Parts: sequence; C-alpha cells; structure tokens
Amino acid sequence: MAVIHSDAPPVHRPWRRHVGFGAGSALLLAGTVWMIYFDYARDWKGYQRDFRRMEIDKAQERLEEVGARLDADQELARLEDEREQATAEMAQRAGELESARRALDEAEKAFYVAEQEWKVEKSHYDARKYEFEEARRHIMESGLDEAARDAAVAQEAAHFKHYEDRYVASVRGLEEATTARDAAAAEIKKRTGRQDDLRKRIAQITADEEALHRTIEANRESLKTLLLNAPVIDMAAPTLKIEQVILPHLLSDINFTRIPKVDRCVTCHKGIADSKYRQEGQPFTTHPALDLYLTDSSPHPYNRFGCTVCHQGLDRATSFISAMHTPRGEEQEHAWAHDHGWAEPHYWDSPQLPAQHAQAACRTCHIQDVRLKGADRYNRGLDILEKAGCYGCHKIAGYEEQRKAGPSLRHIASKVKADWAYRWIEDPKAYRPTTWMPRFFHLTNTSSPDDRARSQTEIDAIVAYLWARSTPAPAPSGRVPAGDSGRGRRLVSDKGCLGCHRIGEKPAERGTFGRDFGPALDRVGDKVSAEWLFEWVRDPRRYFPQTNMPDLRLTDQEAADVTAYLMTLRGGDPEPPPPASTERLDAVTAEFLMAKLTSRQAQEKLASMGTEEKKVFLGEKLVARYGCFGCHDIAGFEQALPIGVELSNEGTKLITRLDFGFADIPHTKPAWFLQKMKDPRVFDMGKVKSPQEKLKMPDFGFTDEEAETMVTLILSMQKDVLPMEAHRILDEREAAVERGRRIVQDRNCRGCHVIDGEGGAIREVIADQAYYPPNLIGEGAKVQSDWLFDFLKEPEPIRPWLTVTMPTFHFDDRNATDLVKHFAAADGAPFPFQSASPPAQDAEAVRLGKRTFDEFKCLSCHTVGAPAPGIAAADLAPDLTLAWTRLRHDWISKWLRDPQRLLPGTRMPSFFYSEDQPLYPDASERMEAVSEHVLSLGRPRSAASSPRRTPGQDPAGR
Amino acid sequence: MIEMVKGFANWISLPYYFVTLSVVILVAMLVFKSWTRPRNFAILFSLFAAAFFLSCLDANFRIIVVKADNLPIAGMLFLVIFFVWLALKQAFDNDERIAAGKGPAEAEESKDKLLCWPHLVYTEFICLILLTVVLVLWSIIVQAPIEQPANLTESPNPSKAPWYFLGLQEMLVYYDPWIAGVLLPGYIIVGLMAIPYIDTNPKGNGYYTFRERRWEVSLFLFGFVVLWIMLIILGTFLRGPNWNFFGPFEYWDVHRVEPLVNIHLSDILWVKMLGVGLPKNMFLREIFGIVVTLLYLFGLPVLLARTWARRFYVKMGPARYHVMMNLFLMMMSLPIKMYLRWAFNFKYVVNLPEIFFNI
Repeated sequence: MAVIHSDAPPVHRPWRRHVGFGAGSALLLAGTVWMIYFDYARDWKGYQRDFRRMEIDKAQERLEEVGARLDADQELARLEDEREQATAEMAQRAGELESARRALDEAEKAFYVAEQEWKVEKSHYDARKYEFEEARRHIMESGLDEAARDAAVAQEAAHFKHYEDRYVASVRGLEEATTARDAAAAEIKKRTGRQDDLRKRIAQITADEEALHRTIEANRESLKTLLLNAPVIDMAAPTLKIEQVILPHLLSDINFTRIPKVDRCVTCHKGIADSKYRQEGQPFTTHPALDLYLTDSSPHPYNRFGCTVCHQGLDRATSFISAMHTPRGEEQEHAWAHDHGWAEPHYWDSPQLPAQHAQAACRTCHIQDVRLKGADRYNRGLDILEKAGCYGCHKIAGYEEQRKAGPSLRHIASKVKADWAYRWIEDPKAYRPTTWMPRFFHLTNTSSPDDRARSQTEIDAIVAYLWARSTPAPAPSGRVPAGDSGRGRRLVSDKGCLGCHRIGEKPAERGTFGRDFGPALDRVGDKVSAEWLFEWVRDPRRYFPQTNMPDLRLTDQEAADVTAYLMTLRGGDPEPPPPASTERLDAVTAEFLMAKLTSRQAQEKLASMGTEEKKVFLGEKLVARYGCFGCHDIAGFEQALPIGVELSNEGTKLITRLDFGFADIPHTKPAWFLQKMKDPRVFDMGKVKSPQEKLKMPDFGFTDEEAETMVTLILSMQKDVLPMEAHRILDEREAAVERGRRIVQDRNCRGCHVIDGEGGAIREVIADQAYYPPNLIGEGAKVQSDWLFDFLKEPEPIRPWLTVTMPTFHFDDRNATDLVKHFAAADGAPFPFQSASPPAQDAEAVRLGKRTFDEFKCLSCHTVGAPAPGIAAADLAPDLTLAWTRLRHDWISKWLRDPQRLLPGTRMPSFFYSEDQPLYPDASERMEAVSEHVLSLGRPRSAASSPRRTPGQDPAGR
Repeated sequence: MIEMVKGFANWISLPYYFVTLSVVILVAMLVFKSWTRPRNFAILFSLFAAAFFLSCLDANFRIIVVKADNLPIAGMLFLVIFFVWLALKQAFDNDERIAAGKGPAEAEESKDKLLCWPHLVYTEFICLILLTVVLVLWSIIVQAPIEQPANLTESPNPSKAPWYFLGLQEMLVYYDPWIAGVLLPGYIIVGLMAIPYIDTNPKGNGYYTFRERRWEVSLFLFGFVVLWIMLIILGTFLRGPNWNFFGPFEYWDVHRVEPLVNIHLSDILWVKMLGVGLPKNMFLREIFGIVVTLLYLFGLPVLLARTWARRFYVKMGPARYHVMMNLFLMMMSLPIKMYLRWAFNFKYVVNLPEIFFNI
C-alpha cells in the first residue's frame, strides 16, 4: 500500500475496494460455476444420451412394424371384440359388481384389523415363550426340592398359557378374515373373470408392443430425468451413470502392487454385448465375436472377464483419452486426433492393443495351448515362430524343449558341396525362395563395399569351420544302385512325399506347415550328393536322429529310383565363392584375437597361424556371434546359450527399453517390432559402430502380412501378472490333447490327415478323392488305444488300395502314448482300456447278422483278407478282419447307424436309418447283429472276450 | 539470425555463465540504481516478458515452459523480478529521502491512522477472493500432471524434486547427499532463525532501505536470488535427462553423452603437482583436503577478523561474529565448489569413500 502515491489516501476511496470486491465475487461465482460444469460435463454422459435417443428411434421403428403386424392380426381383433362385448355385458350388471366391491372393501378392512392383532399377539407370545423357557431353567437350577419346583413351573406355565391362548385365538381370527376376503375377491372374479382372461390373452399377443413402449418410456428425457441427472443431485439416482464390472481375479499391475480390474468400458460401449447393434457405429456397435466373448454362453462371459484383460488399456477410465485407445493405423490416428484430440499416450505403460493385434492378449491366459481356436492370427504367428525358429536365439517360455528348427550340420560335408554352402549362407532365398533360413549378410548395416568384402571373408570362415568339424555320416558307404528316374518320379508323387514337400510349384507365399513343412525340392540336385540322398530317403534318422522326416520304408531299389529322380531336379551349379582376401582374413582374425589378447600378442598369434587355421578360428567365433547353433546342431556348440534377448515378456517391455536409434518410425512398440521384423538392422543407421558392435539379427524376409502377424505374436508375450485362478489351467484330458497337438504340429500330421477339422494338404495333389489319406475326425472314439499305439509305432496297411503310405515316424513310447491319449481325449473316449463285446450267444442273432451282411453286399466294397477280384481299387473299403482288434466295438453300431455324421463325405452308405428314422422295424437288432458278425470275422476262435493282444500272440487278421 | 540468438542464449545459459551472470546482474542492480525508476523498469520488464514469450515460439523452449509441473516456476520468474524491483525501488527512494533529511516514506504514511476493519481486512479479503479465482481457473485449465504408476525398475529421466526443492537438488551435483541434503538445508533453516540474533542493526525497522543495510541486503539477495531462486530456475528449465545441462532452446535428448571425468584434490596435489602416487593411508592421502577444510572453517574467520572484516568483529563482538562467519562461509562453500567443479572438474576436497565421508 505504501507505493500508492495518490492525492487521496485509500481511506477516502472506498469505491475502489467495492469494485474490487464486486468484480472478484462475480469472477469467483463464474469460476465456481465453470468448475461444477467442468466436473459435470463428461464425454460418457453424451454417449449415454445418444444411446438413449438411439434406443427410442430403434423402438419407434420397431413399433411401426409391430403395429402393422398387430393390425393385421385376426386373433387380436376377435379377442378385442369379445372383450368389448364382455365389458358391455358387465355394464348391465354394474350394480351387482358395485355391491360385491363394497363387500370386498369391508372384508379387506376386517382382514387388516385381524392381521394387526395377529402381529401384536405373536410378538407377545414370542417374548413370553422366551421368558417362560428362561424361568423354567432358573427354577430347575435353583436347588428347590422337586415339589416346589413343579409348583413353580406350573405357575409359570399357567401364565404362559394365557398368552398362548390369546395367540391361538388371533391366528383363528386371521384365518377367518382371510377366508372372508378370498371369498369376496372370488365373488368379484366370478363377475370380471372372462374380461380379465381376455385382457391377459390380448396382452400376450401385444407383449412386444408393450415392451417397446416401455423401452421408449424408460429412455425418454423428461423433467424427471433432467432433475435426477442435475449436478450435485445426480449423486442420488441418476439415469446416466458409470457402469462397471469388478473382476477380483483379473489384476492390473501398477508396479508396487496388483489391483483387481474394474472395467468401465460399457459406460460408453453400451451395445457391445447385444447383437442388435451390429450396424451401429462406435461406441455403440456390437462386439464382432459374441460367440467367443461377452455373452453368458461364450467361454469368456462379460461378468467374469470384462474387457481390458484382453484389450488392455486403463480399466477404470471413462474418457476416450484416458482409456488409452490405440488406433489401428495412421488413418484412424488422424481421425481420432481430429475427433477426440487423441495423441500418443506417454503415461500408461500398457495402452490398448490396436484392434489388429487384439489376439496378442490370448496368450496371457492360454500359454499352455499349442494353438487356439478362433485366434487365427496368433496361431499363424506361432506357426511362423516355429518354422523360423525364433526360439533358437531368443528364449521364449514354452519353447524350452522344442527341437532346433534347422537340420544338424554335424555331417554337412558328406551332404552338400562347400560352394553351395557358401552361396546358401550368403543368400538362402537365391537358392530357395520359400526357405525360412534367414539372411545374415549384405543387409542394411553391412551393405557398403567394405562390409560386403568383410562378409565374404566371414562366410568363407563359417564354411571352413563347418567343414573342419564335420564328421562322416554314419551310413554304410555303399554304391547307389542304378535307379530309374521315371519310377522315382511316380514314387515321389504316389508315396506321399508331396504331403510335406513341393516340387516345381511356385507358391505365391511362403507357407509354414502342410505341404510347406519340408523344403521345396526344386533344385535339390544342385545341393546334395546322390550318395547322401540315397541314404537319406532310405532312412533319414541315420544322418539326423532328430529329424522330422519319417521313414517311408522304401526298398533299396525304390530309394535308388527316388534318388535318380530327385537328382534330375537341377537349376544350375552354385557359383564358386569369390577369391578370399588374405589381408582381410588377417585383419578380421586379429580383431577377434584381440578380444582376449593385447595387440602385440594378437599379431604374434596371427603370424603363427596358417590360413586354414585362421579361417576355422574365425568361423567358430562367427558361428558364436551369429548364433547359427540356435537352429542347427553344430559340433563345438553343444552347451552354447541362446544369443538373443529373451522374448518371454517382450510384449510388456517398456518402450524406453527399445532403442529407436535414428529410425524414422512412430515411437510405439508395435511400430518398433514391425520395423525389427521388416529390417532388423535399420536401428544401426546413422550410428558409429565397429563391425562387432553392429546388430546381428538376420533378415527373415517377412512379407508385410507375416511381419504384422509376428508383431501380434511378440505383443502376446507378456509379463504374467494374473493369479492362478485367472489362467486357463488344463485338466488332465485337455493336457493330453495339447501334448498330442504338439506332436501333430511337429510331425506335420496335417500334411496328409485332416485332424480337428484342419489339414489334408496333400489332397490338392491327389486327383481322385478315393485316394485321399484318411480323415481322422473322431479317431479317438473309433479305434482301440492298443491298436493305435501299435499302428503308430509300426504302421500296417488298412486300406490296401491307397498308394500314399503311412510312414514310420519311429515315435518313442512316450510320444506314441501321448498321441493315442490325445485322440481318445479329444473325443472323450476312455483311455487306455475298453471292453470288448462277448461273442453272440444267440444262434438266431448270428444268423441275422450273417444274413443282413450278405443281403447288403458289404463285401462289394469291404474285403475280408485279400480283396475280391474285379473291384476297382478306388471302390475298395477297409479290410473287415481288422475290425476285431482295430475298432472300438461300441463304435461299429454308431457307425452303421449314421456314417455321414461320424465322417462327413464317407462313401459308406447308411443302410439302417434314413434321417434318423429306422428303415426296418428291427433296425437296431440288425445293426447289433451285423456289428457282431463283423467282429467275428477277425475274432480268433479261441480268444477270450478281451481283444487285448498279449506279446508273442498275434491275433488273427493282423 | 534467430538461430544465432538462440545459440547465444544456449551458450550464456551454461551453468557457470548463468550463475556468474546472475551475480554480476545482482551487483549491477545494487550499484546502478536508475533501473528502478518505474519507466525504466517497465521497459526492462516488458523486454524480458517479450523475450520470454517470443521464446515460446521455439518448440524446445515451449515444451519445457508450458509443462504443467513447470508453470509455477515460470510464474515465479516474473513474480521474483517484480518484487525485487518493488523492494529495491522503495529502498532506493527512501535512501534519497533520508539523504535529503525527509525520513522514509513509511514514516510519513503512518502519520495517518487507519482502522484495521474495514481497511485492512477488506483488502485482504478481496485478495483472498482473487487468489481463489486464480486457483480455481488454474485447476480447470491446467490438469494435474499425473503420470503412470511409479515403477521400481523405471525411474523418470530426469528425476526431479518438487520445484521448491530443485535448488537443493542442484546442490547434490556438487556435494554428497549428507552435506547437500542434510547439513546445508539444516544450516539454511538454523541460519534464517538466527538472523534476528546476529543482525542487531536497528536501521531499517519498518521501512525499506539499502544504504543503511548495504551488507545485510546484499548478502540476503545473493543467498536468496542467486543461490535459491536462480538454482531452482536452473534446475527446472536447464537440467534435462541424466541431469545433463541443456540450453533453453535445446532438445532434451536422452541419449546425449557428456564427458564426466572428475578428480579430487588429492589427485591434483599428489599426482599432478608432486608427481608421486597416492599414499596408501587414506588420512595421509587426504591430509591436504582436511587441512584446507579446517583452515577454511576455523582459520579464515580468525584471519578475517584481524584484516578485512575487522569492523564487523568490532561491531558485533566475538560470539555474533563467529556465528555469522560460520554461516557465511557455509553459504559460500556452495558457489566455491561450483566454480571449482566448472573450472577444474574438481570433485572432492576430502575424498574418503572408505568411510563414506566426502566433502
């Protein structure tokens, strides 16, 4: 105040303060109003209002439809006429009704009085009862003699009896009043009964209309809703309110603790669980997969799973921004920025998954599942992961036991030429465009002329190392018999090789399983030696014990034929590698030597080494640096640890842990992962790095689709924050199914068979569907566990007409058991034992079976032992002598009843039933009899009732 | 051109120039009094405001200044300038009046007696209303700068103290936590409480003056404006990721690497100057530092009492003098260490990591 040098001291200018006070108060009021409004006006309220308006519009539309339908309803018109009539009738007798009503009123009054009295008496009675009980106990414990006690108790009892009587009287009174009231009501009902009845029936017909009216009423804005939703008052019973579900088992990780999720998404996404809103836009539209999510009948009902455990983001949020929505792409990003002021969120570690990556959340609970129904993109990611062998360099939970993705290189020198190996390492796709072997050299960070020269030295050294450590293959080094390539060609196409390999096809995209499981054989003649190939097709396990290639049980001659054919598949010999530069070899070797030695020691050591020695030394270092041993079995690297970063939690890695370098991409995790898939070394761009500091992840040559899929998969590998009860824990049956699925996947069973409705890839190269390998739908319910176990270990022909051979996979007991159990468990069939049916005792039944069997000419397709002559191979059906040991006995009659249901597309006709109607009065007896007859065809004469084979005793027909 | 100006601003904001310049400006403010004339000040203030707001056109500057956490500091910048001017202007005016024999302006004003109600309470109440309005509007317009849940494995970079502690945090660059975080703050509090018992000069009671309290005002302004306010501003606007220093127009790049090789007094003396290795005995090794520290804290006051500060010693008496000197030397230990660091990459005077004792 001291600085205000005015002529008039402040005391004489009171108006200045009044103005200040007035203006300040006005501002404060305005500020307060703004504050309340700011707190009150929330986006979600707007959405809820919109939704209510939409509900009204929709209801009105429907109302018109329903109205039109009701107008045309004859029944309704008739009922309404009747009701009018009844009303008119009743009007004539209005006096009677009136007096009945008055009587009812009186009865109601009397009832009310009686009821009040009863309540009072009952309360007294209860209290006295308690007092009496207590008094009696006191008297009993008081130490009086017996007579005195009895007298005292009697006195108390008399007192209590008085209240009991009054209570009983009040109950009587109430009963009477009730009877009188009911009688009066019945009296009215008698007069209005017909009308009430009609009203009810009309209401039934017009129920839809009524419901729509109620919907409109419930959603209409009125003075009442305005008041209920007004600021401050809205704490009581607002019609606009936050809707949430509390999920005690699903936790959010907030670093220092984990808190239950409280999902509020449906506050705005109001139509999400209702298929009515499929046509609406966001936020009201229906979820695209209600069969899997949200609905009570789906595996993930809303009340147990909510939204954010899958979609992620911030569960408690109620605004567009704070819910951490993530756009699916640039276009949506711009739209959101415009509509919602959206910007990349920095302050939440797990924003929502972009819609295209939503399946990344499946793994948080389903880590034990080999593949997931309904999660195609995630499954495809796993396919690629397994084929590309990501787990060789990156530790990934669930893949610790998986076989290395590539073949063993222990005997590489006896398989391929060194020139080929050089060119292959340099650029695998140049030899085979569909290979999953990635490219390590001449990439973004190693493409300068200097880098290329260095890369040549490196490849040369790697080849030198592999050749130096390669031992001869443990195969009998015999001469390859002369083969006929024409026969070989037929064998390759007939035996089933094409279930895993392609020859001469140029698929548009690189596949993973099915016919892309094994390498395409287009130029195999350029690659391998005939000697090696002959031994390989004869018995792949000799060369590579862990190989997935099965044994096709070829004879030597067949193997020679196949070899002769495959060796004709050529596209030109590999170019010899460029001449090696000794200076560069010295320089690179010295560089690696200096990791442990001083410069001088390194130079001395270098001088003492020969060229080959240098190459081998360098090769070993490079195999370690590039992690070749992650996918290949390489001598000297048996104990080596994966070279890459662990990926088990990569999806939840904080973005700050990812080095974006100078790459011009959005700073988001999906963008970084995508870039890593597309060009893994681009993050070196613009950096000063020595050759050994450079990034070394190879380029897998992923297509855009593959790269995006892999991003989903990487995002799916998340830190586990959920408690046990939130996870999908497999029970014994499910675990068996998954173990079997693992084997089905690893051995590419689907290359030939249809399993779980998928597979049968080989069908595309078989012209006649009669020659398709069998569909294994319902296999568990169909065959005996014992038989299947034996069959898997040593396949025997069941369908002699098929040329495609079930190869011998040399499953060990454990894997074979797992597979058998998987089939049984998948179909809910008992494992491992099942009962056999005893032989039919009834001679009549035996005759019926035989007769029916002949009558239906079963043998026109099926065989018993050797096939009957004159039947075209394509028309043959399985040998029935096998049924006794092969088929589950209860399965046969189910099969006879409806073959199409058990195996859609089968050529087996349905003899006994048509569309579930028996064709014969004794159809089921006949079926039983035929089934018994079929079993008798293979049943050993002396066999006990159990079909279980005992060692050394081969049952007939096997 | 603009880039050159920005480059110059970045350069002049390097901590050594920044602090030096602050001191120079402070001295100049006290010597050249004409800047406090309302017109001059209005021009200076407008120039400053214009420079500040024009700087907001620069994205790097804007991103830091308009950050919700930093708004109070931006406001403080203007408030401190305004109030320093206000105080000094009145002080200088009074000095002139006193020199002319008129007595301070406050004496004249208080001849008029005013009642507390309504004149004071009413005014205070209006202030209260207006400040409430400001707070309400601020809370609506600028949302609370809430970030993600704290994470043990991921601390924010830069990790900054609340704005009012940023001066303390800046001290941590130069001293160990037990000095910068415990001893010096304790000294500040105790020292502030001790002022009335040390400063017994009755001049200036009830009115602003500079001439009659030259040392007191200067020392206070140095401690408050340079060592507190300016360090807060430096900590807020000029310290970025990894606590690296960034000019006002520089991008806060997390990846920037700065050379940081700091040496101790013992290295300088034993290795560089005497050319021998460090002695094995840690106390022998640090003997110079210990002696220097003891001399600084206990020898210097005695020496000064006999020479330059003799008049203070005489005026205040030994007890007050030594308490005052101790506080003064502790305060000066911060700028001394800062300059040593900037000039010589100097880390510790006494370096005894074996017993967690470093000065």
